[in-house]
Amino acid sequence: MRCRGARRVMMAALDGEVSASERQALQAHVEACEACRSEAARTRHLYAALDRLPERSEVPAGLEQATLRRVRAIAAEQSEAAARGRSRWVWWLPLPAAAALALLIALRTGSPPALDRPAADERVAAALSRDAATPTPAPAASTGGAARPSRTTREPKGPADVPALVAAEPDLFLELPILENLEKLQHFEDIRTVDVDGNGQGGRG
Amino acid sequence: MRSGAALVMLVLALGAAGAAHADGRRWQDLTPEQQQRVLRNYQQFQQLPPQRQRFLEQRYQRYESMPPTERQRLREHYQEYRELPPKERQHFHQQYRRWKSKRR
Repeated sequence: MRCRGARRVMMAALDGEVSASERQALQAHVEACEACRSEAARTRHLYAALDRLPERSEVPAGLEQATLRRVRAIAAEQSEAAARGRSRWVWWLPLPAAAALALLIALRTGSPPALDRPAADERVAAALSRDAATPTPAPAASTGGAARPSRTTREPKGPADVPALVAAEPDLFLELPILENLEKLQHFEDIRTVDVDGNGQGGRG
Repeated sequence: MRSGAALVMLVLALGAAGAAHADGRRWQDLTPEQQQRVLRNYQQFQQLPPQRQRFLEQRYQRYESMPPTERQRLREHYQEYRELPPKERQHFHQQYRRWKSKRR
């Protein structure tokens, strides 16, 4: 195993999600490679710190709106800067048009969607702030990120209104809380049988 | 006869393509509430370090390849996990840490 492969499986190994042979290969590499050893130690510390974090933290009231206001302000500044740049670089316009065409072709032929990050963030912030302005309580669905009521019952937005990655893989984000807790959920029954006072059954594997 | 067979093949191929796509939900098929959730989770995802993003994408690929019954089981467990009262959730986390330390 080389450094690149080792770093790819490091987190999965800490989550207990690699095969025995992968774990062995990783261990052998980490023992031999100082850089990966310190990376592994850093990752372990990070996990330990994450484990110590409280499950829920209280956030100040109005934080969401303040964050959205800040995002909108940054987006407006960026748009303004882009508009100034456009007038100066008008002769270069065919170049981004060609890039956009290439991107479109790549998307249609199944390549992973690329993200225009600032534009994507603007669209998300705009979509969320539009809906935040018209709160309409509704019951939460089965796999929510946060246990709070829905804010909207409006018509769905079109895929063009959201970032390409969101339109292409909505399930990735819809199921994000499950993905983040995958190990806990896969071994849910086993974990619940563990005795924290010292006589844990430990579950399978 | 040959054109008939070609037509059947075409219909089967289109059906298979449709079935493959039907597995994952499309954005426009989500309810407004689900779309909101997707956008919020997307924002959180964007805040994560690239390494963690890649890790979650790999997990998603694994999740996608799971049988529907397994995914349903995970959703049900997630629902159960979410509904745990704070004290029980805390206890669950202690159990999880202990379980995990035994596995490492």
